[in-house]
Amino acid sequence: MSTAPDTAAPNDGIRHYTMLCIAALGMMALALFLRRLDMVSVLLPPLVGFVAMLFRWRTGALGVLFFLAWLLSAQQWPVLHPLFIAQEIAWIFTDTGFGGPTGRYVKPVLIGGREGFGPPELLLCAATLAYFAAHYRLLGVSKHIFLSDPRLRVERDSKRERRSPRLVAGREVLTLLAPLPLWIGCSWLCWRWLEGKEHDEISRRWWQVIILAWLFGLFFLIAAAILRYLVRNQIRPEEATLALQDTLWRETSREQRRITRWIAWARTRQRKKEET
Amino acid sequence: LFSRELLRALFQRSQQLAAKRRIAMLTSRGWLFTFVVLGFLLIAVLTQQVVLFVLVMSLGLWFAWEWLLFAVRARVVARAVVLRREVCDERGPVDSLWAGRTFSVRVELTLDHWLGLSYAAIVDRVPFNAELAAGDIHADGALMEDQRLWLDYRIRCPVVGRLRFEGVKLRMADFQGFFYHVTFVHGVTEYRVLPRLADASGRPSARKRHNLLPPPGIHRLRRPGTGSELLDLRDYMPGDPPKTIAWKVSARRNRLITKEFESEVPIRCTLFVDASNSVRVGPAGGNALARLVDIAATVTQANSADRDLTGLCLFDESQATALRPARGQRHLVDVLNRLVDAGAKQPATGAAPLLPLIQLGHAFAEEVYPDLLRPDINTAPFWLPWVAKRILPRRLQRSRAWLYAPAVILSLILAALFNWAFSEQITPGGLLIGLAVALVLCALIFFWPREARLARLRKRLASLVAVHHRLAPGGLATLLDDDERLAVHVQRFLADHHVPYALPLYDEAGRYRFASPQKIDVLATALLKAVGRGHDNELFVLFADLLEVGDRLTPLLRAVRVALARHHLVIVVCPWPPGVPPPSSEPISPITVRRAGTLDVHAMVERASILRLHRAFHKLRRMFARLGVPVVSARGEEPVRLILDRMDRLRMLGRRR
Repeated sequence: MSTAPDTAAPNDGIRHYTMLCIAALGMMALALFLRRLDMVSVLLPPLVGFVAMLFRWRTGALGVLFFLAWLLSAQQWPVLHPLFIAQEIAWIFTDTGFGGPTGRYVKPVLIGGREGFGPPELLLCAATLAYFAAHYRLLGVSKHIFLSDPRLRVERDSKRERRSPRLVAGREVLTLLAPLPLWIGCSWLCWRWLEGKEHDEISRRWWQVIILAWLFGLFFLIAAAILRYLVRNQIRPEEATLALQDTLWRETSREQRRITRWIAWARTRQRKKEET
Repeated sequence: LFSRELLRALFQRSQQLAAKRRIAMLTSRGWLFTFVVLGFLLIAVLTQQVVLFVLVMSLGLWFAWEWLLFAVRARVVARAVVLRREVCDERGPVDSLWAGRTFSVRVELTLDHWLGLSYAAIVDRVPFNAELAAGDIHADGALMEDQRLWLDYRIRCPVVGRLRFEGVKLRMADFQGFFYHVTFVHGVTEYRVLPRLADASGRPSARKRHNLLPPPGIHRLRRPGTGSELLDLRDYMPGDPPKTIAWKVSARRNRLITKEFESEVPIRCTLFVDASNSVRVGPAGGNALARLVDIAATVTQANSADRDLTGLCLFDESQATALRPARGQRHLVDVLNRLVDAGAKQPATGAAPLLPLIQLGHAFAEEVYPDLLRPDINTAPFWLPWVAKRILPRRLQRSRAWLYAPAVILSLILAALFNWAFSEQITPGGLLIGLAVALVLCALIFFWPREARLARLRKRLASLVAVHHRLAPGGLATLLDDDERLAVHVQRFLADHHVPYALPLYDEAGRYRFASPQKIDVLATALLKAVGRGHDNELFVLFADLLEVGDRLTPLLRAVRVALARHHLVIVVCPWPPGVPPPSSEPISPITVRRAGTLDVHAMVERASILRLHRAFHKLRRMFARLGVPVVSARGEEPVRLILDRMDRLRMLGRRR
């Protein structure tokens, strides 16, 4: 039980995040439409996201990302368009005599690419981020939030493994949406900084990958070091004793082992003598 | 309860879980997200797609921020959680509990940190000797400066002993379920579970706890004294207190007459309770010691109700602790507390097999002391398995002989395939390389230490136990190389936390491990000391398991003879294993095996055990019968009635005097 104000309805959490998912999918469709994609491409990712939300698929959000990445790539390379690929496959069947489409439906030339980063792209990123967060949080309140403990022998999606929906307040949704522009802005700045990086001997793209890997690595190293320092500052007396004992053992383990084994052996031998 | 398979399964699962959550606190959902985002980021950079890059990078930044926030909360903020627990009955908080009654437990978690925990779930550990009667031991929510988490449930204490509340398991997750961390908030509180109240006849009392003492003067000695009952009237003598003058009689007889009052005769009873390993064997509350404690507590309370003096002597294999006969509420509580503390003990032996103890101890430590098993402060170096002492006997180790053939065959096949792929033919050089790889693999299999994982677990558990028991700096090395010491310390660690563990009752030679014959000398010495200190009209009750000691009773018989020679009474109460039919005077039918098979063998062994116990009991009864000492088994109400009956007999002796 919690002392949090219990004014929320039992299923408020599910309702809040379902609504947020639907809104984010709508925004996503709008952003794709503004990017001048065809109707199938506009509806495909939101449809996948909606079905994933409806059936609480764990990998639903990643599926949406996959389709988005596919369609964005298809705008740059039209031959990757899903309908075009489907049509090509259908033509194979037509040639083999199983029937198929009689005319070309998709003309890759007409799928125009869009350069730069404008309001539709900003909207698309914000909608995708919002959908991701909302979908995972919806899974947390409706399926499970914890790593299941096999020793407890409880069902995977039991009530104890999920977050109580009544704990979700409307304020939580606002705090989720507020920092989204910050992440998008940082990412855009990162791209602007990264695109100017070049190396004489290494290909530009691979050099950017290397820089990015270093960036991530440094971030995690520094964060881990700071965390370790903070934890060491709060160490309890038992933990400190344990650490000291461990250090001593590692330093003198060989000598101690020799002595203690002799003592144990002598005791065992003494007992055997006494028994006989 | 403690089958080897169950232990192994529990242990393996706890290891899997620990391994899962140790790695960066990521759940499977978090791992999948990380890999997918990194993959798409790579694609975005290589294909120079700005929209995809910004989209995936913003997802990555959001994820990294959530990870940082969660890590700070899990590693730093969660340490500031404070636990407060209260156990109450209908009237309020209590310090001791009573067996057979229900109590409400209230647990409250508070956190004084500005960051707080956005989401946490708590699970309380109901002690092993208690049952959950009502309520829920789970709760979840935010834990902030202005928000706390609490639990409210009821427990029932079916057995006498001690209850130890370790603390609360705290599970944390972020709202998305990417990260998971589990820790334990310690808040150790221990309570005694006292035996239920009994009245003067030894039956459970329905009255309220206080006013157990009836008005004085129940048993009297017809000699002048300071009692309250009138004994006689006599002429006044100078020096008699004026308040004893019988004024009406004095007026009638025209001279001063003084009243004489009777004496009160307290009966002394000393209970010798066996707390050795032999009676501790079995589950808490279901072993022989629990029954002995129950009977002793009932007798003490019944004596206290009659204002008799009761002493207590707890003895085991090494020592005896005596409490001189006395009466009063404080003494009664003291006796009950000592009995409860003795009843909570568990058996221990250095000859126990290590493997189940290490598995159980480590699984428990993973649950309750996760902070002390952290790899950064409790290391297990890679070279440890090569120098560690073997835990399993060689005959129980799994053979690796079957690994050699696949290692050789696979190496040769792979070498041939690579050879074919590169040069489109199989050359002797390629096969030689395959053979060399096979040899290296075989050497690895041969020299790879067996039980590498067990050696690491042993080290971690030994470190924890050494700190817990405040051993000297060399204690850790001793535990790592001395199996007996480690077994004893792990048993002590488990017993301190009231974790039940199983021990084999018989050694490799088929001898009973817990016969504890040394206790006979200790008991005989304690009895002689009590006789030396004793007064008249004393009853000595020996609650001792003497069935397994065989012919080593001579010192005890000698001490009993001394007690009887001093006109004391002695009773022997022998604990009786639960589930075994009571000893009777009827002859026991011989063992018959009608059919070959496992079931019949099992029945035969069971019947042989029962027969052996009955024979031992009858033999014991005969030995003490020669001295005129009754021997009863601690089953049913018979011992309590017998002891109270002997107390009454002593009172009659006092009255006749």
